[in-house]
Amino acid sequence: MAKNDNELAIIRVAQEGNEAAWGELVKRYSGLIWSATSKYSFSYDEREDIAQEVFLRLVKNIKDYDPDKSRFSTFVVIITKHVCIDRLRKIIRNPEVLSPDEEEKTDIVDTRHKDPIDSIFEHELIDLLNKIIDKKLKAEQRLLIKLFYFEGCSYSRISSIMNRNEHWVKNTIDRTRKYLRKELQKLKNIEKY
Amino acid sequence: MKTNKNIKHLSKTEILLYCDKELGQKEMLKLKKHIETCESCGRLVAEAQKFSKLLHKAIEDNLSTKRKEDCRKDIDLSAYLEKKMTLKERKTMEEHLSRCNYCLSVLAETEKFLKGEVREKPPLINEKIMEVIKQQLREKKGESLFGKLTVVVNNSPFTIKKSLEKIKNNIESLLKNTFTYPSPHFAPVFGEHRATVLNPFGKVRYPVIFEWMPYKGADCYTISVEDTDWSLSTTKTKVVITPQELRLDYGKEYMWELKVMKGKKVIDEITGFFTLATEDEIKELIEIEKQLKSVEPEQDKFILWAGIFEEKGLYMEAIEQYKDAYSLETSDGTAYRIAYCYDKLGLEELRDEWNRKITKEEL
Repeated sequence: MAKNDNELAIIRVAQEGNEAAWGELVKRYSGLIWSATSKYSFSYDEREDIAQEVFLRLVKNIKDYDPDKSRFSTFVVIITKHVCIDRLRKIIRNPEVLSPDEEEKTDIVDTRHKDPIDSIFEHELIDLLNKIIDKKLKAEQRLLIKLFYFEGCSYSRISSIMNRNEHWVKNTIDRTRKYLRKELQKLKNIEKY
Repeated sequence: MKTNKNIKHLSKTEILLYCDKELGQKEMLKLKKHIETCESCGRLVAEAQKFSKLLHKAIEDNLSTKRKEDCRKDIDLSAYLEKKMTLKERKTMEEHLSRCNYCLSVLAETEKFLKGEVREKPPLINEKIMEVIKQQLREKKGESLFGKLTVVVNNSPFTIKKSLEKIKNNIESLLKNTFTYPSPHFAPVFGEHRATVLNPFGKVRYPVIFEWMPYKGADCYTISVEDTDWSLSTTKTKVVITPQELRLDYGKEYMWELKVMKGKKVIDEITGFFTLATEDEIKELIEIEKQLKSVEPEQDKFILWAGIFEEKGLYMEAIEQYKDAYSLETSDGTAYRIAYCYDKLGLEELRDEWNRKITKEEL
């Protein structure tokens, strides 16, 4: 997307509700939005729907946009991802609209609990771990391990998101894990973990 | 597996990077080979991996993906990613992100996409998007107008508040749909060429404005109002009449007549009906006028006034306000309202004239 000098002017006029300015923003950003919806295996119609929804959300929230805080393109992608994730959650909440892919996922969850005794034991550990994560970790540590384990982010992606260098990421993840292990051992007094 | 004392064991960092898959493919393979043959390193790796697995399950278990009350605004997530936050703001944001899966996913997905920069050419969707946006902008405008009307009503004196509340309810849909009303499809009326009166029609207030279209070949015009002995001859096509000149009863319907004169001969005549608003209605309108003074911008004031006049049945005054708004910004919605008011007054040609200004077949 070419960095255009008059882009700010267009955004300002769009903030006042001018249709022509919105026409220009649609021209400039529909491609970016379309691309940002590509990885979720949404159908063509759904993606079109999402693109419309993104713009509706933009119309609603463009008053929040502040060029000192962010580029417009980042703001637009954030909104797009919001809409995509909302959609995905809706699909998961309504099992009747589950796609075959999602059904497979549910199967995987089921097999996890094959051995009831083992899973009860494991469940206790998980509960304890979560308590430690919630109450004892610093926010940056908690964020870091969630990015790593939940979002599957690499060190370099975490470093880019959290604006810290990779060295910090590596050390903090190591320290945090050691700390969690120690705390869990203290609570459970189990050598093996 | 045998422990080979001659082999150099893996460093803690190597084990860490191996388990977190943070090494290149070649390096990973090299380490894997060692781990498979070295019992002590193998055990350390297995332990680390086991704990990681547990942690992974715990985190998946723990995170709620529900949107929460304190979820961050899009612009704040955007600012965090763009590193445009103060240290304090970052800290607050990280506290939220570390507990909110919803915002976290949005953030991580955005970063991933922006880094990847995979671009696809979109299909032709812009036109459809624009239709949706236009609709939304119109609704937003209606909402804002209605909000202003609410303020006006809330600030009004107690005596007329009740009546204003009623107006508010009645014109809510009009204001909110001002720009989305389905356009009426009146068949155009082709009449023979004859005198056309413009005003007064329907309910009016003092001063009463008499207005008509110039008539080709006319020397002068005579207007009169039935049930009164008032009449006036003029060469103008618009006269403004005060209560001192013509005393009429409030709330009563009158018929007026326009005669087109050439010399002493009447070459055309036409009649119209109008009613003077009641005293209460007039008082109320004066009060509303006071309240509307503070409404900005001018265009919103015109639309609000017009809506109120329309609701009160003072169509001629409504049309005047709508026309003022239209002169500031042409809009299908406003043109439609004007056509609608003319239709209410039975002025078909004017109605059709404004209908033709509506560019869309169906809004």
